[in-house]
Amino acid sequence: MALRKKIRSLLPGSKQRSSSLDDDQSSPGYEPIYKYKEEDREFARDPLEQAELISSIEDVYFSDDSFDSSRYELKKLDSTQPIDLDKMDEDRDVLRKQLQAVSKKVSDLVLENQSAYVKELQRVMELQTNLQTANVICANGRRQLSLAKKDFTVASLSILSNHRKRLQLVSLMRSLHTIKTLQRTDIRLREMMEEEDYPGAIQLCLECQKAASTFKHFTCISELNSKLQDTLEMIEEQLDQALAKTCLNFDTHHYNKVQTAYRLLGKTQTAMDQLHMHFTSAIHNTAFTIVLGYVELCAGSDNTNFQKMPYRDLCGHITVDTYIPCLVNLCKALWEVMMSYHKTIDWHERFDPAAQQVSSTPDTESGFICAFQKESSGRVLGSKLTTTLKRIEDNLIQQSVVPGPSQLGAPNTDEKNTKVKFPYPHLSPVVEMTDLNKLFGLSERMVATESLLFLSEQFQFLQSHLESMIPPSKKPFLQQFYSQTVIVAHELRIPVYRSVATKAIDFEQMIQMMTNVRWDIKEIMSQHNPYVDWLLQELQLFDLRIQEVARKVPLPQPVYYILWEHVIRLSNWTFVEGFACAKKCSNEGRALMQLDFQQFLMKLEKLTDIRPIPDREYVETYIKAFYLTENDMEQWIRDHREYSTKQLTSLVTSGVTSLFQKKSRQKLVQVIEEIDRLRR
Amino acid sequence: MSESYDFLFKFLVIGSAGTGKSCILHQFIESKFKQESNHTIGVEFGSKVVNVGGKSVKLQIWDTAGQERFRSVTRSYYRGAAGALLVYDITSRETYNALANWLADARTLASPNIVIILCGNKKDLEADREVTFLEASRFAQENEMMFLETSALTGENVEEAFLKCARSILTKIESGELDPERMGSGIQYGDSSLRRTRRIPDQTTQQCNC
Repeated sequence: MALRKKIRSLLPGSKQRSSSLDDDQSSPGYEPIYKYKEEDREFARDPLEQAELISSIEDVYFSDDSFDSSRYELKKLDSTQPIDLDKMDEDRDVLRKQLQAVSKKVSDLVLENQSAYVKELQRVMELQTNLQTANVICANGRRQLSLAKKDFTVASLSILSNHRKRLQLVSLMRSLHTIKTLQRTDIRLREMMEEEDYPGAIQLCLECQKAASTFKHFTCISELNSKLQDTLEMIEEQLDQALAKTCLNFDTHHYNKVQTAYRLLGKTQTAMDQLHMHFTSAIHNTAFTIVLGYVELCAGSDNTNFQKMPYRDLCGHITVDTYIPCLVNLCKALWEVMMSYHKTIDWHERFDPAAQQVSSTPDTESGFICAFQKESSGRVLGSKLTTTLKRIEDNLIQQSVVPGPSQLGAPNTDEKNTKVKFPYPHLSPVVEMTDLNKLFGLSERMVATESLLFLSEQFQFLQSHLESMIPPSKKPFLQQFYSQTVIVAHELRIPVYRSVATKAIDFEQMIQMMTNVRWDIKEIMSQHNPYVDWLLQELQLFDLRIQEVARKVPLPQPVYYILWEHVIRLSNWTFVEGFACAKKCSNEGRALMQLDFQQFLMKLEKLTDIRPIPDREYVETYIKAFYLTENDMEQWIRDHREYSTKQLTSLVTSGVTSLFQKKSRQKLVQVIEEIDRLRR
Repeated sequence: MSESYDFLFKFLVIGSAGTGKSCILHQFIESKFKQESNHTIGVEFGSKVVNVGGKSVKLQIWDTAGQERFRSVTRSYYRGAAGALLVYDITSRETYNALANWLADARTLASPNIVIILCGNKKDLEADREVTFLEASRFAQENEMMFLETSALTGENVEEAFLKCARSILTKIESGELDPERMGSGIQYGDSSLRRTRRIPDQTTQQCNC
């Protein structure tokens, strides 16, 4: 329609014209007045003339649809005038000419635009088909895109899920590998048992149990767990047998292993009880066997079953002839058992840290000082304190080897010297000096030491008064008492409390853990080693135990300080000693040491408010000395005598990337050895 | 006892001797100026957990010795560093001139994606300045580094330098430009975000209008 409209707009007034034409032709049966024929065209065909004719058409003809041309022309006729036919004819001619011109023009225009119209229409049709095709393509495209999108998402998701599955399987495989190893451990455990490596076996077994507990969600593990429990019990049985063996033939090496094993099991007390039983039964069994041997020898073919006879009755069967040799043999056997017993006691006195305190019963030669030295490996007593203790012992303590019960408590007067002397003091059995949880009698230590310190303070307050009361001739004695005894009292704190710190943490274990660390790594690590966490955990326990004690007995700040200061110092020494255990070390390994120590410091500073951290530089300097160049190293070794020969040697020899030439390494080792000789 | 964090970044502090690297580290960790500071032997280490854009990030910082004699040692610390502070002294042109060498070392020895921030330290010594802000800034721009002038003495811009570097790394992780799972990226996930699936940038799918 739009198109038709457009075409119509090209022909101004065409509608009116055509409608008027229609009117003329659409009256059926009506003979037109005049028919146009090309051949008998009434008027000229001159285009110019035509244009003129068209332009002469009155404007009113071009007005609107409601225009009635007939009426318009009729109105022109003046009713007042008579009809002038000529004029009318003339007008009619004009109108006809005009009509003809317009018709001609319309027909021309239609003809002229016909082809363009057809062409345009064709193009429109074409466009329409194109659009339809495009629509189909788009719809297809969109459908396929959405399909692809869906497929792609599904594919990605399945890749992701497969990847996840893979990761899970890998971790499962890792677990399975561990379990496999665990399962095989049993064989290794049996081997170790055969090798009599009880501590190793127990350690391994405990580790296995620990590992097994992390895998307890696997069904196969529960079986393994019970198997491990069985193995552990079997080990304990074997251990018990091994313990029994020591009664007859004591071997230090063997006994060491057994004791270590019991310590690992946390059953040292059981071991002691068992040992006593074993000794009893060892005595009984050997004696029985010897007597039985002699009795059977004499009885000959007698069928009496001596085996089941009680020992007492069996002895009745000993003949007079065999009496003496039997007794000799019995004595020999007893002697052997007793010798083992003696050696066992000896071992405990020398090596067992738990027993040292119990067994530190002083004899005449060792006395107080020895008691202290035994407890704290001898380095802590100041010379002044040592002298004071010695003087007190010499002047005030009775020099008896074994104080009888009658001598306990009451002072006795030594008749020769007419001096008051006291029996050797004994620790009440109520005081628990071996309990780690009570920090080796820390509360009792505090009560004793702090009371003494209080006394000494009071004496100091009294000093001026006493001096004014005493006769001048005696004054030097008083002054001596103050300078040699009263003032020295506070020095006691250090040895008394330090030994607590020394025993509170098993630093040996830390060394063990550190020895297993690999320091010859090739990468800068970002995670510290587990031994650091272990130490921090132990320190936390230490702190808790101190707090526990402090809830019952007030804990003075200096005591807190001594305890912490010493435990930190020992930790730091252990760090250096542990680092020195590294056989091979790379720069990256050194970095790991720094990382470990930094982690320790960071956490430690949250645990205690002791600042600065004692001996922090001791560790840091040691770690970093590794980076020194050859020339600097020699000077450094000479300047740092605080490190042991082992520690210095490790520094020089552990480097993997040959920081030094082999020759210079040897030279440095020589320097260390030379210093070592000077030290002795 | 274990601290939790979303990411762990390995950082490196490099630059010529005496530019104040250890003082910057000390100021960052302890918030104090290290009065007596000797030449670093080998390497120093410090770590701190910081908050960057709502994420807690543990920075493990290796502060290397600047002296030439330790170069062979310190080179082994470059590997697997995610970020680096390249430090010079604004009062010493010599330390500025050496930057190109340090930069070359860092780019070849560390991960190629390492994010480096240039730090002109000793900003407080304005009177002795030998290197202008502008030329250093241009140098940084030319070499694709960020740039700040810092003062370990007053603490100005010290924390900012570390944070800026960390922030840049974090942005690169989020945009996918850095992959923390790649070996030697110097980046690790912390416990709290253990293998958390990373956000994929929003897909803006435009609907066709036909």
